[in-house]
Amino acid sequence: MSKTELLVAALSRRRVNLSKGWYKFSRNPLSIFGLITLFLVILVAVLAPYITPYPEHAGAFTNLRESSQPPSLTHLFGTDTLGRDIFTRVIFGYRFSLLLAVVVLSLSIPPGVILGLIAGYYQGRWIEIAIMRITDIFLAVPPLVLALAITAMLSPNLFNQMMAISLMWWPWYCRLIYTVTASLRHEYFVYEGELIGASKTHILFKEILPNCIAPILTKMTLDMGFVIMVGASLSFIGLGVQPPKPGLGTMVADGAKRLPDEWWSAVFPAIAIVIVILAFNLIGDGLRDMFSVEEH
Amino acid sequence: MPEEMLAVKNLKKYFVTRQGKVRAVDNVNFTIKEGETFGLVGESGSGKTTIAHTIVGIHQPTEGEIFFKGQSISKAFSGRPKILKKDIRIVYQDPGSSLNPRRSIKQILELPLRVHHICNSKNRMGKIKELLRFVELPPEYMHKYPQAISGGEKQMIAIARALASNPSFIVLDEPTSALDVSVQAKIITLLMRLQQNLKLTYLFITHDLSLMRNMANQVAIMYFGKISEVAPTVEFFRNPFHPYTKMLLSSIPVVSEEEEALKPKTVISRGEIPSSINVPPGCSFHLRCPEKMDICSKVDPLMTRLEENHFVRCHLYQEAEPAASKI
Amino acid sequence: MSKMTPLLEIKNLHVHFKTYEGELKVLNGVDMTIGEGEKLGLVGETGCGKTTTMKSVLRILPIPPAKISAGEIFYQGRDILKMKSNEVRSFIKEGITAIFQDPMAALNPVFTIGYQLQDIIKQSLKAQGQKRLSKEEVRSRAVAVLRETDMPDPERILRSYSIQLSGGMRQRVCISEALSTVAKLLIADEPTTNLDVTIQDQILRRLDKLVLTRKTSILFITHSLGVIKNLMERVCIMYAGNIVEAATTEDVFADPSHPYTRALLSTVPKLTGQGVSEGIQGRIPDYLNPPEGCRFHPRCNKAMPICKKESPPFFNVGNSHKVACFLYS
Repeated sequence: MSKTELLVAALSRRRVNLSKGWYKFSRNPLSIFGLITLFLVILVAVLAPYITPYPEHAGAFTNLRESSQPPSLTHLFGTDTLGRDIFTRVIFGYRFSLLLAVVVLSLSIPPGVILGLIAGYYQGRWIEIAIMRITDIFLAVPPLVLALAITAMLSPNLFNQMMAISLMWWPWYCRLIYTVTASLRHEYFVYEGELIGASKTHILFKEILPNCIAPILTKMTLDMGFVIMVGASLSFIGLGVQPPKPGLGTMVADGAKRLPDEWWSAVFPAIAIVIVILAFNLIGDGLRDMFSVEEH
Repeated sequence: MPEEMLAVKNLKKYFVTRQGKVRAVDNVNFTIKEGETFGLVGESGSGKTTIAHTIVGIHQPTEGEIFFKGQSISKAFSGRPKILKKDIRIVYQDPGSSLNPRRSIKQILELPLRVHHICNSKNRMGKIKELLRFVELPPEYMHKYPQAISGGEKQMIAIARALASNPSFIVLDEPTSALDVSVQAKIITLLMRLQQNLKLTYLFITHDLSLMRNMANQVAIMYFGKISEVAPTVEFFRNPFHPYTKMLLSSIPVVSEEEEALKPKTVISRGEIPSSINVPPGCSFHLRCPEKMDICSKVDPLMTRLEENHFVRCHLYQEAEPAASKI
Repeated sequence: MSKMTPLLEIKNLHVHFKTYEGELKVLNGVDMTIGEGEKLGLVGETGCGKTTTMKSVLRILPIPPAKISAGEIFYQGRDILKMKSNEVRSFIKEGITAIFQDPMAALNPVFTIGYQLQDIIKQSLKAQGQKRLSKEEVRSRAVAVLRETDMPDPERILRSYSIQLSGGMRQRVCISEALSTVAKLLIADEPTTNLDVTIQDQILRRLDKLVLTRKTSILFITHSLGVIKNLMERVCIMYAGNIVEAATTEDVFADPSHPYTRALLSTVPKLTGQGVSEGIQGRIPDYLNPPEGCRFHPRCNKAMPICKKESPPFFNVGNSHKVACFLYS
């Protein structure tokens, strides 16, 4: 078989596997709903400067004549105290939130997974004890408190917020992968790798890790929503996205001060947060079904 | 004159657990000659899987020695030379967990080829197809994943994997226990054919005595970590001495009158199975033995030679020549 | 010998499963009868549909993706497939009891064995309409029934949780649970395959004796022919969603008629040491596109043209000995 034929055959198998996975995912109508919602959120966030009615409102802008307007046809979600269009700011706010989620997880998952693999494989040895005790220490601190402490120590901005949340997130993945690895440690196929003389790298990354992908992906999807919420909470208390940038949490904080009269300043950003978190959660459910391995 | 392929001398493997010390393998001795199939029979808890795992290197022996082709290999796999790792292979009991569900058949079969540089990367595909041919599976199977194939086919892949490194000795730990009888027949026929063509030596473990009757050259029965009887196959079935052997043979479910006539008369087991942590003193079988004598609860019997190659560990036969130096 | 109305009668049962690749036509017209107090063995290999049949009778098929596309199941003369679940419950007061293959799945890990076993005893007493027994009496019944399956130290077992027991012990607990009910029908799905041969033997004898005293019918599902021979009165051989042969145990072993039955018997290793047969050529059919006509014909060395076109009905070859094969038409 020539190289091209092999490639084509491999791709068609890939396609079959993917469509099989999609079939399982799509059994769940709510997950489809979540997927569509998320897709729309990402789409509007990416195209924000082009589709929002007042893109300049997402920065330093003041128009006191239009301040505190209730929702209308010109301002779908109303305006805030500085006359900025809330609808535009919410869409731009999604950018920060999604960026936060992606960056935090990209920074925290790899080290968490690697440490979890090592700890789970070398059960009983000093390295496992060392890794897991450090993980325990991180996990013992209430997550928000940890993030708070770190952001407060450094100056509050999006970058530091991302660092702080990443630092408190990796231990969850470490523990997850540790549990999965420990449960697989004594499976015959792992013994087989050891007995045949395969390297430890091979055993950890090629034998054990592929079995962890399902829980990682599922947790990751649910975490996206959770990270956004933590980010919003930090912004809410002033430790995140600084004004005049539109962070969803910051917007809710500002708006909360003016409830219930100017309800639109708080309610719409809050709903926006809920929508994106819900979307991720629904997708997470579907992913879990997709990865379920069925026997004959 | 066939050489000694594997010799196990005074092998002990104890496990320390929270409840106490488990004597999984307790002073076991046997030899396997080149080209033969040595059968190991025992119920669950007898220690047969532990022996298999110790021989292969999953466990380090607590005491005693294992000799392979004359050389001592009494270490766990991490202490063994690489050449040994390709010469001794194992097919596990449970086909479901011996194949990684997230790896394709091709990747599974490729691993031993890669690790031991059996062939260069260009010829690997060809070698994999050859291995699949050995176990009578079509070459397209290499792209499948373990979930897509049946239990019997999974075991065939496990066998192909064991053969990939051109071994001389294969441990088969209940390879067909989880399978239907017609699939079992196919696999056993395959194993026997492979043994002949590739000059393999087998340590075959099963609890199915009818199967053992047709496969093994020698049979040893284990009970609670010790071998209670060992003999060449025909002799073992025709002339069993140990009460436990007779009990097992009498409870085999058979399908014809002819076979029924070959079984010893029914021995119903009485009493309880002792826990593996507090093994009672004396012979480990005395609690269930219908022919128990006074001495049985006090002194552990020694292995005695009764015929040319027929050994029993039982007080009923202690007067005969002890076999201190045999195996 | 057999009563007028059999206890259980399965007629022409067709069950399909909807999957990604298409519809699996698993059961293809299963016909089976069990009389009162009768012991019937259902022998078939993996994938032949015996567990699906069992689940259909117990009405625990996951519908969807399963679908009962045709057929009836009569219990004491009434079609239970047409009833709603609460109707079935009130109709079969004493229930149908089952022993499943996987004891871990059948036992609740968060309750002690004692709790579950005593619960079952209490339920069955209620179903019989008997007066309630005191806690001690229920407990001593639980101990007694555990002893019947030869469990060492039953008192300790009652206090234990399922994860603390070995596989064999869990299975014996499940068997004790089944023995403590008063169901008229016991369906056992490979209950002793994971047990050692000596224990298996003992338990099967106990099951036998106990069932005799209570006149319970047993449907014993297994792939082990040897077990069937010693205990069951009648046997049904199942292949790819059809019953291919039904006869008394004696007749099946003495005069196996269906080519599949013969092939199956030849693959059992014999104590006489005649060697092992090659197995049956071919594979079980793909349920997505099962063969036309007799589902065994691709693997049958006696296949005739008609076998490829029509599905064989039952033909009588002896006293209550039926074979679904055109060789006997």
